[in-house]
Amino acid sequence: MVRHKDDFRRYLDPVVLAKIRSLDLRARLLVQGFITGMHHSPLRGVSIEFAEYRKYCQGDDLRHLDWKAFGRTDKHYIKQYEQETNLNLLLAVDCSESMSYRSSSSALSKRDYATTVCAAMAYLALQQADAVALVTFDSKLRRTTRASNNPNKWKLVVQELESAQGTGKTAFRSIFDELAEMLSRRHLIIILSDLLGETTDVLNGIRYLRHRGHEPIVLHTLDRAELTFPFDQPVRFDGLEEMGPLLTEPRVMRERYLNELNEFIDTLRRGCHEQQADYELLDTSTPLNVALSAYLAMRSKRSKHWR
Amino acid sequence: MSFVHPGIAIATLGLALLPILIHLINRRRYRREPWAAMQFLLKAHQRSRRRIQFDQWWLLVLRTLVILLIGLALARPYASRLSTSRFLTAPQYDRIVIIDDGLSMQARLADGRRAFEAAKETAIQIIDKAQAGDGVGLITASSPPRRWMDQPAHHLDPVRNLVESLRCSFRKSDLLTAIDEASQMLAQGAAVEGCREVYVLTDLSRSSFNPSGTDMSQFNRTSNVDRLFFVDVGPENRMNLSISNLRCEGQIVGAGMPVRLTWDVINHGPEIVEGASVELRLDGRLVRTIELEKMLPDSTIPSTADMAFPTAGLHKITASLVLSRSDVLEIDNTCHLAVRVAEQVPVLLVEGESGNEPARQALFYYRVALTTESRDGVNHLIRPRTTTPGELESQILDDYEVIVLGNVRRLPDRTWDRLTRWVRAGGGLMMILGEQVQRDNYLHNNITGENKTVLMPVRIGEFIRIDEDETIRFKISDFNHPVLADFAGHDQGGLQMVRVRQYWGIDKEQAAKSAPKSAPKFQTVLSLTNGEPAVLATHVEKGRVLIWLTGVDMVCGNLPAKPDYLPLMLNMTAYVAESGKERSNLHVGETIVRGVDAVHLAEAATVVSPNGSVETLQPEILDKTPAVSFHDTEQPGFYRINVGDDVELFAVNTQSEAGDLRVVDKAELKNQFGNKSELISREGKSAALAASGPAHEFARVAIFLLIATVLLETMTATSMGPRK
Repeated sequence: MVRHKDDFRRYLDPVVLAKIRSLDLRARLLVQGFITGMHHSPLRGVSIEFAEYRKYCQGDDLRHLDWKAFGRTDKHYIKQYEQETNLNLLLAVDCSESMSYRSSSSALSKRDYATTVCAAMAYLALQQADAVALVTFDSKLRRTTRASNNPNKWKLVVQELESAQGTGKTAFRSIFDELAEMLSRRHLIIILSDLLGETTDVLNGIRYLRHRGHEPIVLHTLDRAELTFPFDQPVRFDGLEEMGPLLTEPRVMRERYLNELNEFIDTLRRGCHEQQADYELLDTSTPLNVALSAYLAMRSKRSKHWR
Repeated sequence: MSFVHPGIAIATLGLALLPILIHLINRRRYRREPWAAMQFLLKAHQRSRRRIQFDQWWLLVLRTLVILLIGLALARPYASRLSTSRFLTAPQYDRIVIIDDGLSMQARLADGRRAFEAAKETAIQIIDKAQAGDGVGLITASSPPRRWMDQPAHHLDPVRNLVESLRCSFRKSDLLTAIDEASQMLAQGAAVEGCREVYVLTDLSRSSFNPSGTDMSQFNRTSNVDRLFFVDVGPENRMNLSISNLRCEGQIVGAGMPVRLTWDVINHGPEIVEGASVELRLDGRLVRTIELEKMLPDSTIPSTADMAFPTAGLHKITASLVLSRSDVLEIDNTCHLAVRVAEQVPVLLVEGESGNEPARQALFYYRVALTTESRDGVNHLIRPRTTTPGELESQILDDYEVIVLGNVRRLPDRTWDRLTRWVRAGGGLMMILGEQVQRDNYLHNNITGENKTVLMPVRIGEFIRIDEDETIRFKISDFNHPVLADFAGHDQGGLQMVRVRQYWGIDKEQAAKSAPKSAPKFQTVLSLTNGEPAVLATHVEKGRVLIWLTGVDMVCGNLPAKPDYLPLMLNMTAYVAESGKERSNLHVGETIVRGVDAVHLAEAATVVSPNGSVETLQPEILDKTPAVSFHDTEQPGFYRINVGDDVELFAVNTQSEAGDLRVVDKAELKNQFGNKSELISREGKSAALAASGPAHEFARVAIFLLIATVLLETMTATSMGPRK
């Protein structure tokens, strides 16, 4: 397929996105690229309660013209809706030290990838009049913004994400507990994290969120190097999050390491499935539309379910 | 264990440290990577830490081993089974080392050493290769080959010392007999079939394989030999000239008389030789230098020179080759000749006719011929003395150089025995068979006598008288014979016009039936026009015998009436008188026998060798005759034997064919000895010796081990994890 120079779909590629410094622009372009590839704009099918009819005036959007009324009355009426928020979206982004890892083969660090996805989702959600809230965390909850469907909220979300520079080790159990306690209404919670910690803590946290009636979606963000362990020569691995160094022969370690990792991923995937929470593994070297598609599919499902 | 390339072996030791160095350097060379998913890495590391450490050390060992084995394979190690037998039960080996110590092994190699020294060095290597329990035998190949022990010895030090003490001889080699001896020695050894080896350390010169002209293909006595190695230790350059066969033949040599010396120069090499000359020395003084013409490869040039001896007595003549470019074998560039210049030649005439009328005597005309003034003055030297058959028994035969039996009827057995011994020792005998000769007496004592060297080479048949109307004359059969050489082209002397009246015929049928094997070969010098022989010549050991089957008087024919009579009889006397000269000129290894008068029987004789050493000998009775014998004629040159006041000079020379250094036909050698033989070249000597025998397969073992180690290393490295 030939791509034009201003084909927005190229912004799905992390390599292209990485060249754009501004998270604001990066997220907009990402959404634009995402939407360009779709046959139907997701922004049209918003869920709004019917309020009243009014006569068509020049300049009104033809999409809101009620053709059935036209058929009955031969007059043009515009349908007016009472706009209301029917979805509360909470974006929970891990900003711990481990998220800052970027291998030489990846264009974006895990944190950059996560924040870009997060900003794009916020943009999409706000476009659909969903209420968006943001939480960043590492060892504890760092920043929280209140849920709002005001489109101006997006700027705030972007600012918060740009300034998120967490350090230290992640404590999932306490964070998810705190989060559950904090949220009074039912939320769609999108968790963007590498989840490097005890699987039991993560799964217990998710279980508690589910118990409180929330809908957690786990977007497990990992670097390609972490998934494949592509080292041949002797490497001294300096562990992030105070894990200490380890000098080793990667070739010998590779198989055992991948076994451990896959077991970890399987445990998480299985645990999420048991909790009826969605789980998606994100590779930071793959295009970002995977994450957005996951979100939209989930939103569509949830909105139908909730209606 | 030794190495063909010891330098590589030493370098390998250094290189073996390379994997260890790389390992240590790699431990310091690593890249740093910040890592988030540390929890999995730590778990993986914890589980496989011991395995990793083991694998790393195992790989280090294997890689070091790979380098060591590559180095070993290149350095080509060879070891005696000493090394391997500790782990494997090795069979006991018997090795016979044949060292060619013949004349040709005196040739110089490119590095200045003699081939014989190289052979000794190789022999020591072979002995060093043996391990305790192995047997080693030693045979030297110079003719006759010598076994230095009855069976393979198990104590190696004495054998090693023996090899080091060996000296090269001047004799010819006889390798085939030596191999036969080795086969016999192996039969005495304890080694089982498959473990019996013979190493022939030789220059492969063709003369060593057929010393007496024997056909090599007839040789098949290697039944006890499992492997036969011919190791070439000879020179690369095979150019050699030799001078031999120095003689003054067919002449009676007197003081001041002209003498014609003859010799042969042989070019054994493959190149054309120019600018060579021969220097003749008389008693150490240079008297003549003769330039030689261009010599083609593999050619013989006979040369002559005329000279005269100033005084009577013993003289040494030495002919030396002078070459523009020296050849590899110098020892055969000189030839020696011992000459006794006679003051007189005593001739004993045994007159068989008892009548007083001189003209009826059998030897009357012969005696006249010897005493008649001749052109070269030979007759001044000849001192004929006449005796009767009855007095012959009391004569001291050694006082005479020539004895002539003129129509002697019969002789007692004892006299025949004395005559035979005298002839064998170098006496010259002329038998003139007239009418009154008793055939049975001659035949009984000469043909049918067992264990005797016979003087008569043929059986005589009937005495034949020719009718007056029948004319039978002499016919010269062979002008090349020294006796008749002067008559070639001069038929006016009437020799072939002689009319023969009576002669003894040859009993051809009887001769074919009962001629003993020991009967000497003969040559017909003169024959009759009816085909019957008239004069026969034969050699009996060192003596010469001429047999007239007709008389030399006017009864049997008219020979004395012809002008040729005088030179013919002088030539014949000189021919048989020549016998004594053969006594004085020998080849190396032959025994010098010198007759001793009864007067000197109690006195010790002294022998002065060419190297100046003096040895004392006691006379002994040899074959019923008092004599001194000297066996140690290993050195070419002049030997002087003093018995009382009497001095005798002997010249000992090398055999010319032993100087033929050309290499034997290798294909023929291979055909003869088949697959059990192996030819080891000069260049590949040490490597081939290293590779021979099961003990030397170590290089191959190293390669097998190397392949196995590389496979193991690959498997270990692969099991540690594939490269990404």
